[in-house]
Amino acid sequence: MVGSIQIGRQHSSGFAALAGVAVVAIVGMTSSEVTTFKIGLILIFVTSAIGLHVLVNWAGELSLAHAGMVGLPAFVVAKLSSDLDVSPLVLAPVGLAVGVAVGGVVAIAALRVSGLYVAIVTLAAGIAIDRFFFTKNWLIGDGNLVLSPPRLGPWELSTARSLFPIVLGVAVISAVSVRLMMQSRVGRALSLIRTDPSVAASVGVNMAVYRAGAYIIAGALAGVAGAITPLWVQRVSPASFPLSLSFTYLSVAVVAGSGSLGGVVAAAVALEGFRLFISDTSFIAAYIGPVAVIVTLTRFPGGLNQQGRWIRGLVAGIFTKS
Amino acid sequence: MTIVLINGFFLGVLYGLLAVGLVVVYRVSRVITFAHGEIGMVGAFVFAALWLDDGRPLALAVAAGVGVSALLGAATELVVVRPLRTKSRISVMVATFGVSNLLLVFAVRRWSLRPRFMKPIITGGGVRVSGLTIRPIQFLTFGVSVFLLLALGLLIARSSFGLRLRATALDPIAAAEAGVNVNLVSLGSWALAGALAGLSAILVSSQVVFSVFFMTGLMLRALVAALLGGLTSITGAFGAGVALGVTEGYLGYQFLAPGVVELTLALIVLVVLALRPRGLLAAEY
Repeated sequence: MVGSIQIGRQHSSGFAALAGVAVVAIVGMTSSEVTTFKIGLILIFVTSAIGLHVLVNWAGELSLAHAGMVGLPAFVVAKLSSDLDVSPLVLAPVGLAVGVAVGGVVAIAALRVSGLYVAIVTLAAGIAIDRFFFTKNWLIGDGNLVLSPPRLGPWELSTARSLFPIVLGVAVISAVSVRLMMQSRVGRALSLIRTDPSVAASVGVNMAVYRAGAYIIAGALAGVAGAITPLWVQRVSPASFPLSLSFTYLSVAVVAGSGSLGGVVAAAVALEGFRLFISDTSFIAAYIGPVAVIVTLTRFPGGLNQQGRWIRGLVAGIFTKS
Repeated sequence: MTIVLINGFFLGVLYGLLAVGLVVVYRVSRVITFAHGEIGMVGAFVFAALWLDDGRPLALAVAAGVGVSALLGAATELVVVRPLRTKSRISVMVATFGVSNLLLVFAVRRWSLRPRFMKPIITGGGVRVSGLTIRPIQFLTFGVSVFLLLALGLLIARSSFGLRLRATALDPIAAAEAGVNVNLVSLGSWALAGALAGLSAILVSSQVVFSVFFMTGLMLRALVAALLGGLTSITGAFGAGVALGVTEGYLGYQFLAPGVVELTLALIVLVVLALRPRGLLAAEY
């Protein structure tokens, strides 16, 4: 009985996700260029936020270097694309590899410490990336790398609508991969490490390997997001990846709370969507990020995922009674 | 080289002063507050508005700036830290990030991003040492820092509040059992740290580019200093801040390429934490 209810829930959430993707695809392909461009930016943001969600809400780790983890692959792909005259599309695996490498380096530093010191170590790594790499001409050019529209064979993908399926596809593949991993042994081990590290160690979970793995997964997704940024924006500068962006990513993970990807997608869409679709001078857009973090932590520590579970339970209760 | 080291020393005094505020909060709440710099920044802007814009007396403007920062520190404890007392320290730290961003957003909307002129609290010819003019404001900052270190040391070691503060830091449950009002001690320490942040920011404001982000870069260095001091030693944090300033001055002189100083500081953090996870100079209570 319980098993059939769980399968039913998985099916319904699967259908809901599929419907959500279909709506985004239709809206993205039929809206104006500006709107499609903004939706694409949100999808890239969601892709990298999923990585931090894995790290924070599954593994119980922390990273304040996420902006650097996205930015470094973006610059590497943009610079190579500019110098070698190769489409950023072809260089996407390079971005992924750089993201994995950065995640690995941050992991080596973070694994030496625990608790609050993880925040300090990752912040130090983020600052080092920002102030060292993002100031070097051999990486950032004159500080504003401009790329020509990417090509796919004979076709030039010069409009947001023509590139939109690629960005949507990358976001969907990233989310599905993480979802599958969530249900695998890796996901269960990470969850156990977060819930009770001593129990995890006693049942044979190699803590160091899995903790490092969480950073590498976050780095990989940040690398993917970074790689498609030059493809989508066709202009990369250090101002695109300020240190404060790491806080925005962390805000999304905190507001999402532990649980499914629905929470992180909703939080990313809410926070980044407000910024992009409501003017920066708007009162709500300016204050929503920090207020959401404070209110979530002090009043709803389970985040959007917990609220979602509460609403689902309420709805299920109503239907069961009727 | 002497000029570089002297400049680094006075820069380090600023880092040390800010690091002391972080230590005061950490000792009681076991939290690294990321709102410390922004709490001070708001106090400094209130001071500037009263003293420069409205022409109010200096003492009144300083008191108002420090008072606003103390109130903001207390409000952070009441609204953010206290509800999260039973949660993980990382949750509290992330929440202080939220407070920091909230204050930055407020400041940007209230005072804009544009840097503004800030007149030093005291002016004069200064003293020439090895071809370098040390300005009166630098001497004042050093004097105030030494005075604050002594005052804090006496407050913690000799006063009734200090005794309650140390008891709360050691074991809040046992302190509460013994009749210590833990909530009041926590509120007081956050207000004290806020006041320190405000005073530090007012002293610093005329020595840097005065914009709403003027404390952000300094706080990163202060954090490193506090960390090197083991997060619990006030004198250790101040000493580490001075050492950091001198090191930064030396590195900046030796390596002109941008980013080398920051990369080196990051490596120092990583090496220190790898070798001594509790910092170099952690204090007992």
